[in-house]
Amino acid sequence: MMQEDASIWRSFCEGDEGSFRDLYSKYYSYLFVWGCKWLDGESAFVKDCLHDFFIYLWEKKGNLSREVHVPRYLLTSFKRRVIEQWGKERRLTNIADLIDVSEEADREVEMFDARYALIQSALQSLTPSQREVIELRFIHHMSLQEIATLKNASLRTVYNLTHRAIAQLRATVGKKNIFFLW
Amino acid sequence: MDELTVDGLLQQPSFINYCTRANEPDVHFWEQWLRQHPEHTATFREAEEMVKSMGWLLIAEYEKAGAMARMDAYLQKPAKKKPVMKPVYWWAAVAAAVAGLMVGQRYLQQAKQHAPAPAPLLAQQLHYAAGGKERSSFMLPDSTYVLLEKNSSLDIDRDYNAANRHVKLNGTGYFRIRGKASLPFDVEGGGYLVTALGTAFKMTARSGGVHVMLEQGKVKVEQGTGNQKKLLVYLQPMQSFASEAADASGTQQVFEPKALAAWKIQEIIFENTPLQEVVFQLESCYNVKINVEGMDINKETFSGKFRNDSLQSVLDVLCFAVNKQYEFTDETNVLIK
Repeated sequence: MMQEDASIWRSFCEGDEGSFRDLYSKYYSYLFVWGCKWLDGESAFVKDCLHDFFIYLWEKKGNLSREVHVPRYLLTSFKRRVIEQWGKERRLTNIADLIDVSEEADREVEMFDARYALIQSALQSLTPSQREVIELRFIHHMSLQEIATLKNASLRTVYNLTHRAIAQLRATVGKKNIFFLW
Repeated sequence: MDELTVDGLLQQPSFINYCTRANEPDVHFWEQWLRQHPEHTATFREAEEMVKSMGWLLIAEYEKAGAMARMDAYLQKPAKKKPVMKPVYWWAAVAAAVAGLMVGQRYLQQAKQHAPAPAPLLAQQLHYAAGGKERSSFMLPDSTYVLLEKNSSLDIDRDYNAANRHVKLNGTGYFRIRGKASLPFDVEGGGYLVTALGTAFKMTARSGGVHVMLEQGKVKVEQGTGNQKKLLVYLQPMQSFASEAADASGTQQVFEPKALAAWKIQEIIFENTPLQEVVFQLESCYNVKINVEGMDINKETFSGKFRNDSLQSVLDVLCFAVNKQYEFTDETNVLIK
């Protein structure tokens, strides 16, 4: 995995568009969630920032170090970028404190990595219909009653579906036996 | 709640309601609860963060296809760049684990703007592959539908759809042929040649071996390629043919329609796929006819991932995404309106 990353990264640095695209595809959701964590869910802003960040990488590819730990490098530089851009947008003055490059920040990156894998596998084990209900709630912020009306289903069905989905998420997460530390 | 855990909190629908602000009384309840149990603040915040992250991941997956299209549009801007091998990128991005549902008119428009014109494409040899994680499905330039099993690949010839309809298969694929009846469609693989006549069939080709299951129409199976071909068999619908080694004569059998049907719906993935293609894929996979009324299916796209799902649950999600209703007019006909 790490080796695969390293070789994709190198060929991206050498200007291979396919590798760049692979990198974007592979790390899109990962960096998206990470950005949202720092801006507490400003997802529209994070989305634009992520696009600009990758364009920046593409334009600077010739100057980037060939030997990096890819996820760590991406997390650290994207965090910096997202916070800086947000600071500019909101004319904040104290953002320097947030961009912390200490050992603490390294630990944060590692914890995020572990946690992300967990969230991902939990979500992937949902069936499409369970997932749909969760999506309606999370993405469209609908109430159970609204979902029931929309799907032309009884409220009980939606309750059951939501409950099953969450129970399944919980079961998958539980099996991994990992604590979330943030 | 003696021992409070993150899991314990996530199990409670009212806690999720609190996190998503979906229900006022639940928000009030949990705010009050936290004030009364300050010793659990850390666990509480942790669970809250977990729910938020799941929501963000869903948003990311929902946004990803659009983001990829936007990036492709950016990459394709300078016209001098070498031609893209991937014929139309929404076929090619299947490796990405994008799921969820999405209808995006603007993504399709972007796609149309930046998709390479068909003529120069045909001058190249095209390679399609499904990796170890997911199947891949796509339409060839003549609208023939292909469902490629994991770890399989397909190459199409330079003159595909102009001088011939010849493809090379390594692995397993299902083909539903459309387009020009005047050009025979043939698949080469594992040292065999399968020629189809207006047909739907599944074929597996690995070095020296072949397995063909014919669903509709007629196919001819030959051993060897080029000038040294030996006719092995003509298949009728629901007949299969297997040959394990180059020197064996092979065996012909009759199979149950269910066997092929179950294989087809094991995994179906749409990623920013034009609705017209979605409809054709579903027709191919579920052996039904789908009519769509009251919308332009060339203008909408759909993304979604289905594993062993019934046609009903696929239609539920699809119709929800396009804001339509569906009905079965009889056993094999569906009307979406």
